[in-house]
Amino acid sequence: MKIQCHSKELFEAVGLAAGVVPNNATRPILQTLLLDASPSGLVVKGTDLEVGLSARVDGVICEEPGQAAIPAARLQGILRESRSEKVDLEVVDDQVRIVAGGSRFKVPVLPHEEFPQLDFRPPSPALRVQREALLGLLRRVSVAATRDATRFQMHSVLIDCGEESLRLVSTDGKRMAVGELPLDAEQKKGVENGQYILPLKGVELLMKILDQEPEEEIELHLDQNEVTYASDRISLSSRLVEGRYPEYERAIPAEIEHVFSVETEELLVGLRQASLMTTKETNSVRFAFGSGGVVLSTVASNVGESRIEVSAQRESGEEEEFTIHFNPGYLIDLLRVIDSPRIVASFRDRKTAGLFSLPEGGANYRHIVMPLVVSDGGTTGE
Amino acid sequence: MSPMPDPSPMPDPPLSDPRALVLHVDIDAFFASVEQLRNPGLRGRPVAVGSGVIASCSYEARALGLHNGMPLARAERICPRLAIVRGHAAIYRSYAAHVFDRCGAWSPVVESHLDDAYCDLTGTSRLYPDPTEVGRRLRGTVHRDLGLRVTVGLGRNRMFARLIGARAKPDGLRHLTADEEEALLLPLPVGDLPGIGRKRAEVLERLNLTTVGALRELSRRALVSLFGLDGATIHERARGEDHRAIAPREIPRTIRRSTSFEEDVDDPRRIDGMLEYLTQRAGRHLRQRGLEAGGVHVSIGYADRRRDGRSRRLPAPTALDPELVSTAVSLRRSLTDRRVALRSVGVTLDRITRASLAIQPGLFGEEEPAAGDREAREELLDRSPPVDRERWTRLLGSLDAIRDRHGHAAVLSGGALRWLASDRPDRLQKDRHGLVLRCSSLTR
Repeated sequence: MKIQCHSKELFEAVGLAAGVVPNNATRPILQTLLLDASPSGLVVKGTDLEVGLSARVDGVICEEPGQAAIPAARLQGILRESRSEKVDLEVVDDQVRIVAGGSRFKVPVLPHEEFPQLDFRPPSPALRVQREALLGLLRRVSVAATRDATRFQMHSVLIDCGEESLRLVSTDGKRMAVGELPLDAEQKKGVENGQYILPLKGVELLMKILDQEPEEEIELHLDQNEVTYASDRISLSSRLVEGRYPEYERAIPAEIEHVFSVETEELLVGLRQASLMTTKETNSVRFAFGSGGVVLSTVASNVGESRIEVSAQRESGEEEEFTIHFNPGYLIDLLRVIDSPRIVASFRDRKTAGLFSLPEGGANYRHIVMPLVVSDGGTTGE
Repeated sequence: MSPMPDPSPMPDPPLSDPRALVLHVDIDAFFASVEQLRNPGLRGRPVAVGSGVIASCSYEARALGLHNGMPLARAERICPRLAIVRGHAAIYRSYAAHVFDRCGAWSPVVESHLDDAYCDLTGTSRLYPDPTEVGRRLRGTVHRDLGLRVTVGLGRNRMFARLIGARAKPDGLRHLTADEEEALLLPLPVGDLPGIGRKRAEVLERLNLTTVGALRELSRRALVSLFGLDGATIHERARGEDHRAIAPREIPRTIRRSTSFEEDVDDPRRIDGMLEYLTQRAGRHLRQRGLEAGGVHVSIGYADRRRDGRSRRLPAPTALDPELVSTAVSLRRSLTDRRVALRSVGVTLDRITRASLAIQPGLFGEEEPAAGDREAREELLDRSPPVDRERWTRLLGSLDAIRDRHGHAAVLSGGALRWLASDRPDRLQKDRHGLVLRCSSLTR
């Protein structure tokens, strides 16, 4: 293999593919990226056997076609530090020689035959969706997924493909985000109704890719085993998580009694202030919705107390005070990604999950958070 | 203008406050002395308190070669006229509280343990120009009011106070002045230095380092490579430095429950049953004080006297029995890899913090993702199924209320009962606090 290409373009492709490479790979070959050069161009591939990604690099001069499996971290490092516009790569015996301006590197390569086969030509049917809409929804939804990778069912985003809508769901067992996109038969193109659980790693890569792509509409191929995204430049495939997702619909609260509307930014600032006076043991904020607004208060022995007033508007319900406790971290996460000037908070009672949604578009995005049950020592003013 | 370099740099400030002074009070032959007080017939006789093993024995018994931790059967062979008392934990606690109350008259800060206490006398030199006088008066007060003998050691830090106190036993008082410290420390056997247990002493003795004086030859780095972070502490202790503050502990550092079996046990179900029982006792203690544990340590003693132990950090602090027990049992299973019966087993809860005041219930109740192969994966990850925290908190609250009224053994879990049923039930006795076990410490 002997090629010449632009450093920046190669760096971008390597950066994407390196996002797949696992930190603690079981096999050395999985810590490499496969560079596949042919007269038609250069493709950079990475995989951890669950997720595979390939990115095409434009403007490559291929003097000698061939393949090379190069350690991902080293290659990425060299390109990051490179000041040269062009970079030359040549495989000689079992080394790759990288020349960037006056800098030369020799890096041992691994036998490229060992690199797992990646196939991105999905025969499966595809969903056609608006790129922006999908990306925005993925961002708002995935925030609720658990970060605990050992709980793989919930370390994911669920794609629930219905008759007329596509639902995205994430949860960590304590909170849940449900987003919805309308879907018609034209867009579904034969994708079977059902649940597809996408691992969080695949979701994060997909968001990164969608952010860079220029197209307005994109295709997402879904079958029983994997989800594939393929465009001219970038392809991503991810195995789906096996098993059953929690029955999320049951956790969406019904029979709402109290509804309030709050300004997102004001509530976020208030929550950040209130959480200054919390500790690991008393990580709860008391919300007291009254006639004029909502009072956030926290108490932590040895740390201090806070009382923050945030204006809120009662949209429906009896004119009396309503109090409920939440872990501030959950709501801060939610408010950071909501991307809306106002948020609507709906409650049934202080023991049932709170429902947070956007002022317009009702079911398009719903965030459900379980309140805290606070023992007597942790409440204020009661 | 740059500051002039100091031509004669000041010598390093001394590591400790020169006025620092710690008083260590230790109640002599505590449990046995209390029994002798309560029953005049026992006075002047060899007395041992304990069940199974000696928890405490009187000085008359010690003179015959008996010591704490000795199996009672052996003690009886050595001394047939030994008076054996089962022990009354609540009474000892009350006596201890009275003794340590009296310490408070001289020191603002008293850190009390089971049968000893540290008092911080730092900065009291104007009030008490002669600290030995404090010790003398304290000993007099305790003896006059309570009839107990205590030994008092005075030193620059808690290590010296304790070491010199041990040399003054029984019924003594000594003050270790700064210029006597080296004479005490250098010839001290390494095993007697705080921070060095039996295992570490063996390691050092194999290196032919038998005294603290010899131990000082090892650099801090060498000690750290031998013993990890504790090596740095040992390096300090060997030089007479002990920076642990004297503080009344609101939160115990560890909670330990352990026992030895009536006879050596090789049936894992019985061992796990006992471990379950002990862990539940420790868990109840946690909950009573509104605490949670962040780590579990299980220790076992083999019939051939070898000991072993292993720790695990919990994913989140908890006071719930099912979480503590499953961790303890899985630790025990990973421990017993020798084909030798067990003589003792114990559990220690550590990383103790105050319990969270708010409970976060889940959205899906009990049934978290129920995948078909969940069990296999849990085994793979060595994880127990998620516990319904809210329900268990309520359940344990009710159980604890029953146990507060009728004793711990009033309600036992199935696992603990399995052990109970397989052991000879006739030999097990209940008392107000639970089953009477062969513990080395009766208050547990």
